Amino acid sequence: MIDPTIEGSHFAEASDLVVRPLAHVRIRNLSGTIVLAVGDDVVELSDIAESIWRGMAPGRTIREIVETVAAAYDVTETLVHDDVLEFLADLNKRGFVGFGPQITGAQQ
Amino acid sequence: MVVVSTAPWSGPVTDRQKVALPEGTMGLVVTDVDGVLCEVKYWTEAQTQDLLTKVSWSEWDAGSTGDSMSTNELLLIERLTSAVPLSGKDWWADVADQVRQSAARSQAALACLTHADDRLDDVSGLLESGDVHGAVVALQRAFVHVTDALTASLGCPGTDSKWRPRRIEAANSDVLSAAEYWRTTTMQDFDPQHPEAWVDRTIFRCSQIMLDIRLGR
Repeated sequence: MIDPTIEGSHFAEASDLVVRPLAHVRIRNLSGTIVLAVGDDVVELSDIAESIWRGMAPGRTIREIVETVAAAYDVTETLVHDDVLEFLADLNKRGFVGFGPQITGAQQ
Repeated sequence: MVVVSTAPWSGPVTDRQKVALPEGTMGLVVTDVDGVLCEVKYWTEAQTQDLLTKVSWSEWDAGSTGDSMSTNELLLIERLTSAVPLSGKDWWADVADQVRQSAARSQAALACLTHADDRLDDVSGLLESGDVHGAVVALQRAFVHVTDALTASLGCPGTDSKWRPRRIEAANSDVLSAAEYWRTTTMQDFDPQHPEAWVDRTIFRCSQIMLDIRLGR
């Protein structure tokens, strides 16, 4: 699978990439709180982080996730754009998500 | 058939099987009823009470995930809530209610999720090594475990593959419909020319379904 690390200077280009959860991520819903883990690295998702995570879908670009989150919170895309990208870039660095182009035939 | 009595069964048995309870064995009789082979399992009330303790929320809070339960114990807990009582209806109703209120669902779901994690780890490793076909096979197993975790969390536990479609129907989940389960498990969207596309979609679906498998109270 394609999994380039996205650094800050490449955020603009990253928006058109598809983001996908990596298979080895442990995902648990503990009484309503979503907790992710890769090895000993554990992330407890806040409401907005959960919204971003749930915003991922086959073939959906980061830009489209930004649109989804903005719509969910009824705010402008500009307001959430940087936060979404920074959050996903952090998860990418820590091995929770991968970035890449669309996979042929992946979108339903 | 399950018989629960106050004192241990003292009649002849086909086998005496070990269980991880203070009363450490359970009598099993295999008999022929009108040409059909039937199993009768003999438990005691004390064993069922010990079993209820094992699946209690206090045990869950103390970190017990139910992994110390034997197969016979898991099967008894799994079937107690859907049993048809032939006698002792009030006793059964009370015990079945205690199981429904217990951490049994979470324990069963967590066990399935742990199996799913293992298979998804395999998928990850196989993809890294470029073995997409191996990843497809591992992912089929992961999807099965994720499905079992979902149905367990919704009160329809079990891992027997032949009953899985029925469990999905009974669970009636918004997260995974019976139609989607069937489409995925029979790989109707699989394109042999693009196996990585099925892998991508199914990893997504496993991840999404796991978000809604609620563990705990």
